[in-house]
Amino acid sequence: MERVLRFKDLNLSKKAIYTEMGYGNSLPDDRVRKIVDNLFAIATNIVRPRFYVQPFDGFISDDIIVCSGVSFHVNRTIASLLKNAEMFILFAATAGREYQQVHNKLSNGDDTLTLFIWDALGSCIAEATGDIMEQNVETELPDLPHSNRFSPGYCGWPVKEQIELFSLLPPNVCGIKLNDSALMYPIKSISGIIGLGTHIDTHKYGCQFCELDTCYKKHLKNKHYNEAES
Amino acid sequence: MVKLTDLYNAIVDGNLELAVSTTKESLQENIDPQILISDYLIKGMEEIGARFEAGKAYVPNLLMSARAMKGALELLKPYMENNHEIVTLGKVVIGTVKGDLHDIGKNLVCSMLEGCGFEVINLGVDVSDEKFVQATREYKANIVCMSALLTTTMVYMKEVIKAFENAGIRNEVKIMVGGAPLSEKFALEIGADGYSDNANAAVALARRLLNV
Repeated sequence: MERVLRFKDLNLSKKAIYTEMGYGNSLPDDRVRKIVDNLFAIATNIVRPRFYVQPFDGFISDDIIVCSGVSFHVNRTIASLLKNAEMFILFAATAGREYQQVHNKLSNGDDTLTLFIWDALGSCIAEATGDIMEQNVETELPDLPHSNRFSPGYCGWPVKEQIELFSLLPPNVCGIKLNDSALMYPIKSISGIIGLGTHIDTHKYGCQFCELDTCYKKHLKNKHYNEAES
Repeated sequence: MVKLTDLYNAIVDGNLELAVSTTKESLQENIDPQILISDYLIKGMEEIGARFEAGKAYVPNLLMSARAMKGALELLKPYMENNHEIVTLGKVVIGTVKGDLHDIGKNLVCSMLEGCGFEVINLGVDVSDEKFVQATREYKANIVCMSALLTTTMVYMKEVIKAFENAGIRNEVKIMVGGAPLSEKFALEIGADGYSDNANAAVALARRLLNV
């Protein structure tokens, strides 16, 4: 099922954008806030985020999840968190082509500040779309607890397995295409898997589960922790 | 009479209009462009860079300062034609490596390098080893900057460095790498000349590598 959202459905706060831009608990100055305001107005008029979810029967064997005969080498971290899954949902969610068009236009100009803010806004849009997608799963399947969402590229699940993942979804789902390196376009898109089951692990997912030392999220977390400590 | 501290303040505050108007006034009063650059513009960028490193300024501040600096430098260029090296600290070829489409960090580095007086040739995203080598030759670049956001694409940087070796021009250029999953250790392992973890540090590294 594919759903198209409006920007306002995401209920994004400007504070969330400021945080994404690195402001922490501080507020940007008036000039930056004015640009954020303008971009919010543009996003409200233009941006149409989308998501798609599809349930699959499947099973886990060692560190591999098999859905409809397709194997996902998710690595042991994700496999252990999904070990009690009775079924799986594969998903894709995106800030959308409309978002990407504005991004491309800004990329071709020389206003790096506006591009930086639009990029931060795009990250928030993609994540918020993923959150709404998860809420949708809860509404559609209220009696079956679900895990957090897991994506190729994280926790040792190779990003190139997005090719296999998208092979199980409809062609051109949500307007997302993969490039030769299996990266999604529009760039502000997410994809992955959710496990459902009576005894599924519903613990909040975080960097503590992951063994990938080179992950940028772990780098940023450590950096923020060190800054807070000092 | 022009108030030269306005130029310094314009850069620190990221005020393009004030940077441009003060530079124009200074030129009308025949103030040596080199003094404007070394005593006010560069000092302003150093100050905002220091504030950023101390967590007292943010990426947008750096970008606004870089834009103000670039605006001032554009006005100074015609006056510096006989002293080219003062307005161009060096030529930089920059790109996100093949397979990777992430460009926001790379674009921040471009802005900062340009703002601080480097000439930047931005090759965009998904850049092959061949394209890096070709652009370096074509533009006679002093520095090559490579960016990657993914652990799966950052390994391609090693191939790019190898391509420079195979082309026989590895020793003619400094190679810098950056991107969220990278580290100093990784940069050393693949044979890069340096690594930086933010746009401000990238400028400092570029200057260090070229001794400018």
